[in-house]
Formats: sequence, C-alpha cells, structure tokens
Amino acid sequence: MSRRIIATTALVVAFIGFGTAAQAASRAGLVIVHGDGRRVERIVTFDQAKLTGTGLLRLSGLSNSIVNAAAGQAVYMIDGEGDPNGWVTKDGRNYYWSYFRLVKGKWVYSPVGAGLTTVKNGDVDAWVWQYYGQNATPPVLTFGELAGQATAAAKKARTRESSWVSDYVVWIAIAGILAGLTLYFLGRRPGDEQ
Amino acid sequence: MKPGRIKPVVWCVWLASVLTAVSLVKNPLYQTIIVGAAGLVYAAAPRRDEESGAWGAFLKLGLSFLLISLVYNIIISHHGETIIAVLPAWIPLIGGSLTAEAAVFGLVFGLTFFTGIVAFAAFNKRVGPMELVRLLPRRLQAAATVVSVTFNFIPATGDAAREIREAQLIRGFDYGRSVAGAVKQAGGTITPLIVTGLEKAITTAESMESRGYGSGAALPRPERGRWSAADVILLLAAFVPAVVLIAASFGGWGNLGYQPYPALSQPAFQPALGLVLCLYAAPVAWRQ
Repeated sequence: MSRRIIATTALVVAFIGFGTAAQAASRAGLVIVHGDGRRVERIVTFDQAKLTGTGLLRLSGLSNSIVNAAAGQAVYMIDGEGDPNGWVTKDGRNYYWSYFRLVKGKWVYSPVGAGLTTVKNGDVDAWVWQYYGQNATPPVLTFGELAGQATAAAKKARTRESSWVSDYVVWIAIAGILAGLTLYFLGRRPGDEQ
Repeated sequence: MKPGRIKPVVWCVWLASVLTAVSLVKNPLYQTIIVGAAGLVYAAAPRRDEESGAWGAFLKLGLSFLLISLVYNIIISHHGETIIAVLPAWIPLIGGSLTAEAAVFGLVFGLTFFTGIVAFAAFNKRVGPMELVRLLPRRLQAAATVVSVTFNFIPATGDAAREIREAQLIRGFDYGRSVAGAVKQAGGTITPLIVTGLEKAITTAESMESRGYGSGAALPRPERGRWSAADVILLLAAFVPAVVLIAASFGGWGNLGYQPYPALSQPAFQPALGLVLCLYAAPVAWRQ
C-alpha cells in the first residue's frame, strides 16, 4: 500500500516537474538605438520555442508600427520614432529602422526582413534608426549582459516598491499613534489629570 | 518629567512654527501628521468645562469647513481623470463628472484651514490672553490688548450662546432635534447673543478705561522666571520642524507639495521628515 502511495507521489511530482519544464518560457534580447543615440534595452519573454523578429518587437511592449508590405513586413516606427506611414525623408536623406542580429558575438545586418527571421531562446535582435549609407551598428551586448541588466533593474524596482511600502507603514504608525493618544486624552473627564 | 508651567513665549514659537508648516505643506500625508500633533496638544491640555465647550464648537465649525471644501470642490470642479460619478449635464454649474482628483484637492485645501484652527485652539487652551499681552513690549500693549480681546471673543461667545440656550430651555423653549428646529433655535439665539455681545463689549471697554487703557500707564510686568529645561527643549522642538520645512521648501526636497490633477498619484512620504513633524506633539510630554 505504502509503495503505491510512494509511486503515485513520485509520478505526480515527475509529471508536475515535466509540465513545468515543458512550459518554461523562452527569452530573447532586444536593443533599440534611437537617432539621438538613446538606447532602449529589453529582455522579452515568450511562451513558444521560437518566433519572428517582428513578433519579438510586438511582445517588447514598445510602441511600434509594423505593416504588411509587398516584400514582407515593414517596420516604420519603434518607440515613438519614425513615421507609421512610411520612411522618413529629412535633409535629403531617407531614414529607416535597420535590423541587426547578434551572431557569434557580432552584429550582422539582416539580409531578410524581421518577418522572416527566427528568434529563439538566448538570441538578441537590434534596431537602429539611421539613414541609408550611414552604416551605424549597435553596441555589442550579449544576451547575458542584457539579462543581467534586466535583473538588476527589476531588483531596483522591487527595492523601490519595498521602500515605498515601508514608508507608508511608518506613516500609518505615526498617524495611528497620534490618533490613539488624541482619543485617549479626549476620553478623559474634566479633573482626571489632577 | 515634573509638571511645570511652560513659558508663553515658547507657545508663541510653537504656534508660529505650526502655522509656517501649514502654509508650506500641501502633501496630505504630512498634513495629517501636523493636524494630528496639534490635535493631540489640544486634547492633552487640562480640561475646563467652560472653555472646552466653546472651543469644541469652534473645532466642529472648522471640521464643517473641511467637509464643505471637500463637497464644494467635488461638485464644482470637473477636472481630473478618475471619474467617480456623473451628474446630468443639463444641471447648471454642477452638471458633469465628479472626480476623485477634485475630492483630494478639496481635502488638501480644507486640511490646511482646519490645521490652522486646531493649532489656534490648542494655543488658546494653554496660554491666557493676559499672558500674551504682558509678553509684548509696552509700546505694543494697546494693540496686544485688542488682540487678546479678539482671542477671547470665541470662547466668550460660545459661553454666551450656551447660557442663552440653557435659559431658553428653562423657560420651556424646545425647538426639537430636526433641521428646521435647529434653524429656529439659531434664529432665536442670534438676537440675544448680539445684545449680550454688545453689553460685554461695553463692560470690557469700561473696565479697560478704569484700568488706565490708553493713558500710557504700563501693565505690571510678569516675573522673569528662569528658563527650565522643559522650556528650552520645547522651544527647540518647535523650531526644528519649521527650520527643516523652510530648508526643504527652498531646497526643493521632501515632497512638501502634492498635485492631484490631472490624475491621482501616490503622495510621496519621507519617514524622517514625518518623524520631525511629530515634534509638534512634544508639549504633550509636559503637563501644565
């Protein structure tokens, strides 16, 4: 009887463990370089084993404009920069979002559109706002570095949240003590203090 | 700590410091600490029936101003993003959305006023009008007398109103507990209250004249007692919050202000500053 119980428990534990492992989320890095040099970095978590470059961009939470063009999907605007209707022409130059992929620690300009690429767990994509012929490349950031920064940022946010909660606890304690003492003194009858 | 008499000048510094805080702080979290500390000082003052009734009514009046400020701002100001109810647009002036931002703004404004009233009530329960008059230089004593009479006006009026009400009850006047009864009672009290007030004003003027008011004669000076440790500690306890708040106001730190519009946000709170404001309750440790 006891063997059956042990076996059933082991099976349940194994099943749960397997299920958890099967549902483990994938993560990929994303680097956005704006025209003014401002950099936005994200670690994007997704449930499936792989997705496209545009899929990663959509899941990043950054505002973007991805349209279906004749040659595939075109990305016109990311994080508020660009024109959702098409490329931007300024001072005689055509500005656009250029798409890079990190391959063996080096950025490679993607020969295909982001709608056709495959992003897997641990990959890093980058988008740079530049004009044709500028040949700018994003700074090299490995997935490990991006993940480390994201963890540090999350920890900092948690610390800030925890500090905010403790601040309010102090306020509640002060207000409670003042209110309690006031009620105590108001409850006295004249002459009690003598 | 041994019971002792705190010097009136210390109480003056305390009041000035609290009023400074009231004018500088618009953050509801700090405001509640200031009003809580002032309220505690008021509540811990030795109770005398004849005064507590008058000041109690005055505080109720302040509380009603707080509620009026809250309700008025909710129904008049339609700004803000957090809509809690909508009144039909065809109602003139008040028609439109009622927002949580407007409620908080009205509360902050009302708290400023109410804290000032609580501080004045606490101060007046601790310091007599004559102590104030004697505190000032001889050249300012005429003005100080007028101020002291003004300070006395609220408790004296409260006493007179209570006496009139008691006299009316003895004579069988019962207006009931309804709103209409309360309005009738107020109408029946105002006339004798004005007459009594005028009579008291004449009596006060005569007594002041008989004591040489306006003749240039000086009032007897109070004995210059030594400053006790309690006086010094309370003086510092009153000074420190005002100095810190002024520094915070000029330095732009401490989050003294709070703007609920256009959308409500959590007011910031710095525990260290909150604890500094608790110093306003320090007089409670010394019983007079």
